[in-house]
Amino acid sequence: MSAKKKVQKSWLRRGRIVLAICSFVMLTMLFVALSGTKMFAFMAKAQFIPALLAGNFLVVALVAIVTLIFGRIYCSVVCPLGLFQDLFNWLTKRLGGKKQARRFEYSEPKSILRYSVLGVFALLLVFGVAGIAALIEPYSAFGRMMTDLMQPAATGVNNLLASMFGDSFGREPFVAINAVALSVSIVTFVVVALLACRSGRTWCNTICPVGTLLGCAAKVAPFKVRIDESKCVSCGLCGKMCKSSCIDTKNKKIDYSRCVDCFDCIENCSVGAIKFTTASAIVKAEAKTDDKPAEGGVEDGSRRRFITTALATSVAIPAAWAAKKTDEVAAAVSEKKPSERKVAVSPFGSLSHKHLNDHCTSCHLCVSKCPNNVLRPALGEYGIAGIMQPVMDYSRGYCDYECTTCMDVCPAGALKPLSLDEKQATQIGIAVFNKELCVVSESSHACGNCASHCPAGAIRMVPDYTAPLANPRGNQRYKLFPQIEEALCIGCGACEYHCPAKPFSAIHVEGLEVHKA
Amino acid sequence: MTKISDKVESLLNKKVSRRSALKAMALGGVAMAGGSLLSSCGGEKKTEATTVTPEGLKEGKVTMRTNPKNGDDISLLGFGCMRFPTLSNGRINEELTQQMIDYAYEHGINYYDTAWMYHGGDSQRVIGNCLRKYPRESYFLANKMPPTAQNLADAKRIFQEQLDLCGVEYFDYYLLHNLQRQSQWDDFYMAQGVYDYLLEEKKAGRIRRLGFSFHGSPELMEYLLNQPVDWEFIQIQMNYLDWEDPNMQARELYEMIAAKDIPIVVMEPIRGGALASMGERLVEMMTEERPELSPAGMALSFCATYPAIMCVLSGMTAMEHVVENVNTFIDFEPLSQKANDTLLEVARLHKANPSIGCTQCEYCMPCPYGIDIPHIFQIYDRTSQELNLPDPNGPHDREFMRKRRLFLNRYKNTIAERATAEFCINCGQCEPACPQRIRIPRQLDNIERLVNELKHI
Repeated sequence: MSAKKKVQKSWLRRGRIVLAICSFVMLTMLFVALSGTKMFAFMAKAQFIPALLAGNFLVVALVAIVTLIFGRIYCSVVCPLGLFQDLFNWLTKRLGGKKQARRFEYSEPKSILRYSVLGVFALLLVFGVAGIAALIEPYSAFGRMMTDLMQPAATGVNNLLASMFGDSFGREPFVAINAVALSVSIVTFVVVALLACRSGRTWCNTICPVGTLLGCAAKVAPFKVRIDESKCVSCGLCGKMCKSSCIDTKNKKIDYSRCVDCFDCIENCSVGAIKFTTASAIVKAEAKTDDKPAEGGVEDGSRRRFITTALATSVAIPAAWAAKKTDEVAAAVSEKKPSERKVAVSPFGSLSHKHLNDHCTSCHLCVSKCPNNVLRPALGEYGIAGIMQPVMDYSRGYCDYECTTCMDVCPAGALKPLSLDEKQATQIGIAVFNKELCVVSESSHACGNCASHCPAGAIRMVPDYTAPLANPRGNQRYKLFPQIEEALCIGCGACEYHCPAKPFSAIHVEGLEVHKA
Repeated sequence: MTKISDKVESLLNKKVSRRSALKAMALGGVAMAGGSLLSSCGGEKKTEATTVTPEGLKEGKVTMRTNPKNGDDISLLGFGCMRFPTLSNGRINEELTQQMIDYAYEHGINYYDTAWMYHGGDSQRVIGNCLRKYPRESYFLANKMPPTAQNLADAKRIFQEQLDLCGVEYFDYYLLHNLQRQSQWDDFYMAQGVYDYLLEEKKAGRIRRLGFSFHGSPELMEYLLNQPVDWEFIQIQMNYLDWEDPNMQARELYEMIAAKDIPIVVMEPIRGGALASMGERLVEMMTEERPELSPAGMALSFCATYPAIMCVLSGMTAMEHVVENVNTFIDFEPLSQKANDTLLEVARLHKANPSIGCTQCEYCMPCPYGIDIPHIFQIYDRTSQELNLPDPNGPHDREFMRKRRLFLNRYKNTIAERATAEFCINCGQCEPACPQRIRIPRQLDNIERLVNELKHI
């Protein structure tokens, strides 16, 4: 140990940061990547609440065991909302310098608030109002921000690039996000980001139900961040730099229900008095010495300005572009209006509206990943309990017969992972034909676009003997209209999407509250 | 090319500005340009073919081959009489045809191939007229028994009429026209005795050599070759596009006939002009091999290089064709094995990259259902011309994935959301408006299918 050095390297902290960056990048990519990749879907499946809802007990048990032994590592490595806060905390430190880095101080735990929120959350889940509970569920809150805010920005950048280098980038449609989902995401973003900038992990330690739950488990963990009182010089630095505000420096005590195992204190302690270890092992241990200066110790104004500007532009430009392109697309398709359904169509694998409402945490991963842009967050289609949960919208796309992406990625079991065969044998809705709207009724053109695009072969064009075609030579012919064989229709919406009738499709899908398999 | 157009100008004694000639040439190769350029000159008085030989054009006569069956010396380039230049009323431009035949004859072409069905029968009359001034034994005239003949009496009537139309006493080469099905041979030529009748005519000296022209399968060829008949020549469709084609199987046909030492006359060596207007990249590949030859010259040389070929017929429509083709065949230089392989590669690439041929005139627009027809076709043709069209049935290697991404990106970036091919309902309103006679709904359907297949890879 060298007295010259203020900061000593903690391999635990470095490792935590590396893992955190990895999972943050993977989760961000999972939501934002446009190419439909679901490579990182395992990161979504590793999330606690979705795993709990999905009955994925392996993940639940793993998280529980790790927390019971090592504390809330989950919150610092796996939870994307936690990492999101760490990002803003880090930015504040970088931009605000030493003063900002030392802005924290110990506070008493807000136990009553925490446990009440946890209780309400649990009740909401138990009574099948996952949609409301989802508002504070950390993974879903992150997912919504990514899908509703970041993905449109990414799409904007992509489309900008596509307009410049058309052969290398393909234009992508914007995900259809409604005002409610957008507002919720913006509010979440602002609240969580501001809280992180002001006071670190306050969200995690007052609101987050997962944080509260894991906090209880962490209390009994044998491995903990511990202060070696024999070494401690009571400088109080660890407390000032603890984003969880959980180090009571006066009493040399740590509130383990709030400690997220970030290990910052270990590195910040100039005398090496803090260790991550078991109680019995808090004996002298050799601190490793290293002469390298701490990374990024020096700051200067130009770098700060650069970061600020880059950050601002990277959000502003794509957002502006996105808005513009959305208008253009809207203009191009304005003649077509979404069909008005009596019963909403819920996605394949959701089994029933009720199952979806009970399990979905509205993380919008399915919305983000749907390659055909069919899914969008619901408004009132499922009632208030299902707000923001995914609903099928066939005005901008149809459900690909050969695709199971949404079910593959759903981490919460709200969309059960059906095989392709099972999906193709499932009925989520039934096509309904409205002859008055059909282009064949009005014009002399033959159509049949619904029948030719039906992947299930459920639509047949049959002559209407009351509608003869003018045909001077040869046999008398009649107009052909679609006839739907309900038993075969799966409700994929290919007919509705391809119908040329405007503004409303002459054929549309009516949903089934309970899917038929 | 310039040299040829100079030559043609001097031949026709018509002041065509070099620029307009060049411009016309540039428009899709010799085949197309020649037609429009020359038909406008059709009314001009002919002058004698001059001896002016612009630089670059070879002097002399075309290369000859000998029919091993009978020792006939036949020009390797033959004159096909199916595509004579026509006037605006659809009739043959006889004056221009005469000039073209004269030029051909003077440069040693001595094989002229007509048929009952060409130009509604008029081809026979015109070629007869054109050749009348030359000694009868100095050229070979080929004619054919049409597949439309009903019975023996009909065949006899037709044969007599053919002699009369051509104004000749005999045909040097006579073919059973367009054998495609075994029944044609079995029922018409054998059961009805038409073949025996033709043998009689041969004995009588009104037919010198008897053969057939063929558009059937190798199995049928096998059958015909095994008939107790001495075929003195056989005419098949052959060109580098059909050589390895699984349907046309030109290579197999060629090898079967060559194995029997029967001389072959080639038809459609340029595939009705299609091989004269290949994509830019493909032309570059060919030019690398033989810079002095045009794509049409390459196509003709491909056929003429094979030893069993007695004569390559070219249905020449314009003076340019005659001058250029004759130039290719004076001191004919066979293609190297490498050049031959290049052409087969060109064929493969051409087939993998077909073109719709949309010229973006937008006559089809506006589509009542909002399909962006011209741009959809433009993307397809552009990608195809660059040899970048992905083939979903081929290997899905990196090159394929690159092409796939390129094509899908272009498609997504150019075509608006509800203007893609999948929204075509096949109403057909566009089709009559298309000057290129593109079967628009069908092509849109093909593109939709391609896009769909690519999306699902």
